[in-house]
Amino acid sequence: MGRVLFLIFLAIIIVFIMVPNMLLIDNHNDKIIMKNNLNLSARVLMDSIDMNISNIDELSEGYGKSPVYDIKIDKNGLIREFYGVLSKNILDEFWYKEIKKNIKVKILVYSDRFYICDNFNRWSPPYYFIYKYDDKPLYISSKVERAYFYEDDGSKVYGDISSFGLTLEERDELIISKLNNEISKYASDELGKSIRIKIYNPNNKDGQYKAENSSFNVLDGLTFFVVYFNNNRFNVFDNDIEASNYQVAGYTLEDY
Amino acid sequence: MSGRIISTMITMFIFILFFLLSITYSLHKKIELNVDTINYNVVEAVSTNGKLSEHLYSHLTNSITKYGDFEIVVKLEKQISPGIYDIHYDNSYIVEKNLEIGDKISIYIEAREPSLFGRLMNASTLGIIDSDNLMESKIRSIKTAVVSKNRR
Repeated sequence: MGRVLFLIFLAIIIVFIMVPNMLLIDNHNDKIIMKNNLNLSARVLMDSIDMNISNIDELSEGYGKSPVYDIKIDKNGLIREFYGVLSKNILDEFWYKEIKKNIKVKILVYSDRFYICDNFNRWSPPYYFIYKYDDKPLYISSKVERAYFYEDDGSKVYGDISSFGLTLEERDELIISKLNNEISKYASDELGKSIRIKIYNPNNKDGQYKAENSSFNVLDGLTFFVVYFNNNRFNVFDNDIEASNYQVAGYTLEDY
Repeated sequence: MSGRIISTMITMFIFILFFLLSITYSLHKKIELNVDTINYNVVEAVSTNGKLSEHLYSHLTNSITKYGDFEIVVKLEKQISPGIYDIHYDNSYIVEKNLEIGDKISIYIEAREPSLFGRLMNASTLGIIDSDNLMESKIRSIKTAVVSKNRR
């Protein structure tokens, strides 16, 4: 009888402590290794600059010439290279396929617009950063303090953002909200749960905010980042063990 | 009486085996993560600086050696033109070489011996499983990055 009880005790330890513990250790390692792999893969941004196209749009807007903003990215080449490098960072082909399936969205952020690439590697049209002013769309940019809108006759009217009632902090908050709103449409799980990324607002001077949010900044240059998530659930005798893995990783070309 | 002793021994054996497997698995995973993190830090530094310096390579080998006997393979894909690469494996060529944007650097690390967890796992099959189907339990890590800075 004592031996039977001991075996039952052993089985309980194995099922409820050892196995979940191993799964959680595995998940913890996967999170860190995956984040590292995505970080390294996102660095292909530097090698995806389209040498044949010059980004003269911003130059013509009078934003000035700069090493970072005067370029355009070969978006299809970027995705091809990103997956090429990612596959080289993963030894297990099955794991690579799993990761590829769970990279929900890839985002390329310029100063005045951004593009979203979905799970099927299709790029969206540009999403411009827009603020509603006097029932007209006001085009804003994270790079300059000027904004513009179109008059009914098609002419552009420029002005300082303060003349449109915006502070720098509010402007950046609008850009962050726009990014999060569009990303959440692409990146939601099977339960419809979507994510909100803590993007740093460089014009928010609050100390606590800086401490909590400074790890991810996309507004300081040209940024490429990816959103990965995988909601793993293990069921042990009707007890759900959640081992979710949410990752946001990217690379920024900064203006200097 | 002898049956009772044997069953007690088997029970104890199973308990000790699971206990050891659990501990060695945690160790195996911890070492795997540390080796991968060291590898990541080095490749990330090469990508940022555009050079695998002698000092950085020594740091890699010294740090890895703390976790056991590992083989390190460095691969450089030197971009000739977009999509065309010249591949080098010779450390004497790669170390201290100034790299350019678009070159790819890869570092592959593999333990020469299986980990304690792997040995224990494979030993617990008592030779029943064919050696070809035994668990592959060597600690391995690979990291690749595109160089993002010209070093001249």
